[in-house]
Amino acid sequence: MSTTPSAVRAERLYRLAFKLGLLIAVACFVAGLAHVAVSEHRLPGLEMDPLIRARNALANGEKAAAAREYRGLAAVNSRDFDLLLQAAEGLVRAGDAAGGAALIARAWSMNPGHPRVQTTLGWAFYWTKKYDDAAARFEMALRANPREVRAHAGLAEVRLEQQRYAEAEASLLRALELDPTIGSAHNSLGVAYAFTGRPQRAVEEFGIAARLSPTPEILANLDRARGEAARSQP
Amino acid sequence: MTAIGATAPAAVLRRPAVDPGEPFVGFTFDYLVIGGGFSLLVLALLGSGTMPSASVFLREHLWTFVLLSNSAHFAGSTVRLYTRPGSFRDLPFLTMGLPLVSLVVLALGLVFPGALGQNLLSLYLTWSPYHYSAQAYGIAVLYCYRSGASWDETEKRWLRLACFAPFFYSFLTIPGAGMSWLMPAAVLADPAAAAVRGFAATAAQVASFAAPLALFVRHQASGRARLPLISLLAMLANAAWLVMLSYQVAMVLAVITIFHGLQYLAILTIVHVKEQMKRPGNGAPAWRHAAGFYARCLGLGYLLFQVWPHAFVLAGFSYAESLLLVVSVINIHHFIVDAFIWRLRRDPSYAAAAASET
Repeated sequence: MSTTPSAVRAERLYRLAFKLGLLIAVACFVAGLAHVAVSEHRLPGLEMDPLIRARNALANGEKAAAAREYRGLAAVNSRDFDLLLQAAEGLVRAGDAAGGAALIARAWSMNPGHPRVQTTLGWAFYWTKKYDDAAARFEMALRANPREVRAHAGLAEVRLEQQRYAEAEASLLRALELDPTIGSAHNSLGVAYAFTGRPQRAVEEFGIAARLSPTPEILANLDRARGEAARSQP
Repeated sequence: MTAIGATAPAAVLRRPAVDPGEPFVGFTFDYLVIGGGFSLLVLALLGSGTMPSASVFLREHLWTFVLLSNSAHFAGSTVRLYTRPGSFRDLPFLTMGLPLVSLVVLALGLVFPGALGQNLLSLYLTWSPYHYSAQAYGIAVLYCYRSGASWDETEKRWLRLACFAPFFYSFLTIPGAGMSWLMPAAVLADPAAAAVRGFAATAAQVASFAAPLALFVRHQASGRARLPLISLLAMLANAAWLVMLSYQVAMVLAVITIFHGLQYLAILTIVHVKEQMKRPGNGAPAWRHAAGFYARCLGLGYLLFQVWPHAFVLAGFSYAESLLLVVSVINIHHFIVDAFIWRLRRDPSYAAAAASET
């Protein structure tokens, strides 16, 4: 007799918990849909990259919003070496050099001397316009691991800044040979081609970059290159 | 002796040298999707670098494929749980209590990212390879049942060990999860501990491929109940996913999850359709049950992964932490639900799926 009332009570509790859970879940879905619909005038798109908002904010010059995203990522995911390094670089780009340095130090303590830490340091120097220091770090990373894609890409960016286009092109081709899906590397290769009088090839590279990451900068490059290519046609 | 046995030549009755397994849909579909053969082809293509345009295409449409397969597969276990006859009665906590518990844990993880949030993420990353290995084991056993093989407990233990070797490797090597999460960094940095860990990881890496192959060869040679070739393929595909490939590289990870999801959805849909077709008064064709089930999985998958994180952005959290924690909690919920709805032998629908029509 004593078990029956408790079983009934348990069932009531379960039903209450279920209704409450369902209510919260539905409220979350409605809130999520409404938030994107109101703020961005669209439905939530297909995106599962935790850093997409941070990158978009950087692309739009919203540095504070980007820094907030990178700090949020680092708070939840401080044990993931690669994401920690991405957050570090992002913070440097967003103007929080001290925050970025702290994350790089944390990554360094996880894997002292790892080529990817050197690569991130290289990018941190690149974003703060210390190109010689950046190149030195990228070269150090590549000596340790010649397949370090982002070090090739970083070295190429430095060479582009230094207007050493042939070297930039070689580094970018190597990076894209290792990973053909880096939109920014296709974009930079397009820039190298455009500056060395090969507009048709620039259009091809900007086209691939636009498919992979259609940022305003890449789309503008594609438009300009198309114009150049059209003018250069006999 | 049966009448056939009495009249047919012995060679006709002898089983084929290698048991290919009893397919659910057809050999091509089963080997490519459920066995994981397609994943090996795609990953080999990506790894070879011979078709950069294929990599670009995949990256361009990555999240669409993830939604169609992986997100739908996560939703699939929930849809299955709530559409399985008698679920509410048999599994009251799982069906009615766990959703609220998950929501509370998610909220706490967001509020306390350092104390709880990152541990949720590490738990999910530790559990995930276990879940993958359990799925490989489930598929291997399922095809054994369908081939009519009766395995004793010792054989099943060996099969389980062979399937779980990739998990042991992942546990020892995944950064930020498994051993590196559970053990203090100072202990792991000790040279002797690092050497033991390295040796164990290498042993698990070798065992991930050698153990299934050895088991297959042993069964072939012994002439007893044999491990079907498709079971071996499912085990080797899982080993390739977890061992040969860098588990944490985003693109590879996403591709692996797509194929894991495909494998899971295929089995789940087969179970669902078989159940629906057996219902009294069923008039709908199998494809309609399959399409309806998949549509529900897809819709829920979209809400869970694409919509839900934005609710927490509205509440003031960053998108990065919202997405990571939503993904972690959905994964953990899926692992728990999955462990209950796929209890081998106890689930009548599993038995129905395992039974061969031939």
